[in-house]
Amino acid sequence: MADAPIAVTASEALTMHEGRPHGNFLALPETVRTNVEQGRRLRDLKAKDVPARDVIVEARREKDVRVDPKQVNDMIAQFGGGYTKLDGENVIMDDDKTKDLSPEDQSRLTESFSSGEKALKEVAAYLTYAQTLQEANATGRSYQEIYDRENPGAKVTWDQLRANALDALLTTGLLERIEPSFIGQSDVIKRDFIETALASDPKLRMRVAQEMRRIEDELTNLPKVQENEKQATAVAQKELADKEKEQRITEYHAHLQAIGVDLPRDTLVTLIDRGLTPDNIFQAIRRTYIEGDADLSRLDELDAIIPEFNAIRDKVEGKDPGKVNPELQKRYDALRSRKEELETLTKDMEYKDDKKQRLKDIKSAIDKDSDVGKILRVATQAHLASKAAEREVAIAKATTNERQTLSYRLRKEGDLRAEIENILNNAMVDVLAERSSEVHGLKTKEQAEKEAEAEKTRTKEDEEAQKKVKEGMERNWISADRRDRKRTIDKEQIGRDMRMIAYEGEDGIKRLMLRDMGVGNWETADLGSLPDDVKRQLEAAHGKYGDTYRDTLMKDYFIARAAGGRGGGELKLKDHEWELLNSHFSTALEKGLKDSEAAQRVMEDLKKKGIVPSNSLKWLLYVLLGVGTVAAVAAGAAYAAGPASGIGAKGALAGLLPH
Amino acid sequence: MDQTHVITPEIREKIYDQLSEAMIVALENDHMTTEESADSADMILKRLDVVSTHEELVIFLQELSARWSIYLPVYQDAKKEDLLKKVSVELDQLAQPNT
Repeated sequence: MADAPIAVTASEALTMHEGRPHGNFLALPETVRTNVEQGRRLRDLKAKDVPARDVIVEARREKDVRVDPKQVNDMIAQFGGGYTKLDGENVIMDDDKTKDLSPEDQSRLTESFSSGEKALKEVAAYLTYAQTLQEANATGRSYQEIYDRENPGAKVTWDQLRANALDALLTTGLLERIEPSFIGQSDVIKRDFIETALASDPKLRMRVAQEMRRIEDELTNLPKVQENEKQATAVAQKELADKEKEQRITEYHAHLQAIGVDLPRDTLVTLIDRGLTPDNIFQAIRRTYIEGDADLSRLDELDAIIPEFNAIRDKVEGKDPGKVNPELQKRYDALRSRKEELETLTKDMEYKDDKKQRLKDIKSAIDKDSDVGKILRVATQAHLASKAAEREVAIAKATTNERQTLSYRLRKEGDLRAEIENILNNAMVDVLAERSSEVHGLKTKEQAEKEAEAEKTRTKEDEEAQKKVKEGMERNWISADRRDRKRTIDKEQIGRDMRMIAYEGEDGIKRLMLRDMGVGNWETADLGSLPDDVKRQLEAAHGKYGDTYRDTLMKDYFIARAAGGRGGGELKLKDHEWELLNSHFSTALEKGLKDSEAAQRVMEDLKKKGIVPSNSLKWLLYVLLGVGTVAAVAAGAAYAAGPASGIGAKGALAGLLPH
Repeated sequence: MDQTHVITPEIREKIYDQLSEAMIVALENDHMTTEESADSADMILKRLDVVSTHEELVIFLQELSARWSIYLPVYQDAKKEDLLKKVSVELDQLAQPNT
């Protein structure tokens, strides 16, 4: 049977291929690969039996670090409730879409859009800047040349972009948190430091780009601000009906005025709003303007009598009275009497014709079948339609899904904007922590190999104690869960332990080791009178891991400071505590700095400038430059990062100083 | 669903292998840029894991090779297999005795 291929992940294979984990504490920027190099790299993976799908995943990685302007624009377009449009190359708010919203909502949308746009452009500027740095470092070409080639016609110059990107990194305040000595330093110093030590790291760029990609997905999936469809329809219907109603009332009212019916418009509106039918309103007008006027009332009665009177008259007048139906005769007599009475009363009526015309007009206006009467009928129908639509709006509002409302969307936009604003800071902290853990992992692996032989001779108890101490180092201060890749920083513990070693020096380290070994009275025990076996185990553990223990604690201390957030107070060491720390470990610190060419260069430059480095800055250099025992392996790479990153002979951290 | 047309993990793996090989050869010969390979890798990863039938696979490969011609041989190969499968199904049906 053929041997089953050994499956390894792409990253494991790359580690094997390159002989080291990705990057050191101050890593050399990865080079920009040519197409052929990328082909060879993927070919190597296949040769190492990496599954074909993982090879394709590895090929896609190149995509993860690129964020193009279109992607950024697409993301910007999601802010402001998505009420945006493209104006040339820029995304802007679309006023046509927001014109029906309240001024407050419009203002909230614009604010969310502007702040989202600002945050995204800041991150995008960093990515362009980092891409330029990386490619320039890899190809040896100048930043300007790369930038001009990749961004033809860009409105922002390279110098502006670089300054903006570095400002964005600076405003995170991370540098000052890691090392208070930077507080009050000039921006030139801080920019140089960040550009040299962090900004050019491809891992930082990749992490930022990956975060952008994740947030892009979340932005795309934000709940759409769509008014409830029914609600929108009902609102539109109500608007239409109200408009119709107003228009018809105006029209009808104007007509009434024209014919001398002085019915106030408000009264007309009130009558309609109270739900009176046109017939009710016609009757009201009749009662007021015809029946309330004696002349018109009589004319109206006369008008009403005449048709009947005329019809009966032919059957009564000139006929033999004995042959006329008595009832008909009686009715005729009554009508004639009333007609004569009315005619007598109206005989002296002034402007009789005018009165007749006025009566005709009013009757026409309150005739439900006349053209004018129909206007009022349409107005009352529009009123009913408006009320019905209003009820629909109320029902729709009550049933609208909260996720679809503007407020919900804006809240979500705010959450994502905050995440975007923190991308750079979080990515820098992650990269610092990752560098640290990789260096640490590499060293312990090497140590494990070198000491494999020696371990055979050690007692089982000693090994067990050392194992506990080693595990303690990995867990006490910053622990990482491999499954969910979450990192936990115990600032309180770090602060306490830093003080312990500051006050007690090597004895402090021994006490912490006793704690890790599970010795109960570790804080108060007389170290000189420990039981022999414990003493032997402690000495062995201290001999093997003493320096590593101190340096790991120191590194975790700076990472914890970098991480910021709540609980930073426990981390602060007073000046005299730094003095104590130095007095206990001055040999290691001074030797470390002295043995490092890069550190010497920085120290000399500082001296020339008349700056006396604070104790904490010395320790930061010690940690960052990898001159301690744990990170010693990174020292070469750290310093080599200088020339490669374009800073040139000044050296990686010589950029600390003003030039 | 006709089981002869279902994409098995083995078939998917084979297609991944053919596509990665086509990509590597194109890169090695400078016939494709790193960016193009990354973009095509993105499309492959988004689509290949979700195709469930041979017909869907052929459609996906056709679209892929329309964008990056270096994948054309993989498409043609899959299409040929698709045809062979269909022909063999028909032949099987013809060979069935009438009942």
